[in-house]
Amino acid sequence: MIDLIRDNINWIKDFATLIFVGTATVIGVLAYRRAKATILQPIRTEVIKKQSELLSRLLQFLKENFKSFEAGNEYVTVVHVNVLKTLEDYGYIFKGQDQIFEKLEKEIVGWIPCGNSEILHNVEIIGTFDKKDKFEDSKDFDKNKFENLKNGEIDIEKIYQTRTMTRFMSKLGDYSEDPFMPSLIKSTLDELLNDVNINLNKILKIELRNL
Amino acid sequence: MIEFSKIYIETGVAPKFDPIGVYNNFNHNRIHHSKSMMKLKNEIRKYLMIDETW
Repeated sequence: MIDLIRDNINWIKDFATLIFVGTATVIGVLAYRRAKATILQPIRTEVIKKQSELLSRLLQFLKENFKSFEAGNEYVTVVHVNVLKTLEDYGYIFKGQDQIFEKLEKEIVGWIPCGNSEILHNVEIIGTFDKKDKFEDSKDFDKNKFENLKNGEIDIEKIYQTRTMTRFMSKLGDYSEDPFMPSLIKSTLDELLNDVNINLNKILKIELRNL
Repeated sequence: MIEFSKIYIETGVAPKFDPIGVYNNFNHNRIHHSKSMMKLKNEIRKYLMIDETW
């Protein structure tokens, strides 16, 4: 036995050295990783704390707002506002419209341009210091639209936005842009926002066109 | 606007309509958000490890 060891001593020594170096390397790497995790732990804890607060607020926000949104309550108002305002844009006047529009104007906070033309025909840009006492009447533009409509040319140029819808979208956008938002949840939020935009800019536009 | 104007221009009388009808068509064709909503809720719950047993 001793003779066998003596004959192979070099080989055994090399093998033992190899195992020792390998084990030391593995322990070194693991120790480094552990040390790194320990040093970064306070930062990680702080980030997780902020993310937990952010996501809890988001869950609460969705709970409070999304039901009425998905059930259609807010879409009903958006469609209602857009139908009446589109008819007005094309020059149609209907009974009691002053009272109706007085109510609607309180709901409307703006509009999204969605026309096929790159020009916003009824938006006039003036120079910063150019004082102009009288602007062209937007009714002229409506008349042109009505004349085009008679020829079957129609382009829905605006989707009016309601206060509640805008607030909801803006809040969701804020959550999505928050630097502490995890990327997986951010992408789902963006998907949701994109769906709402498609509903408004494409599907509602088609419905208004076909009205 | 196409249907409404066609009838109005041909007959001179505005057709009766209800914005709710437009809404019904829109609601039928729009993208519904329930699935995205559930996905979002589940992702948040998973991230916060709400259902984990400690």
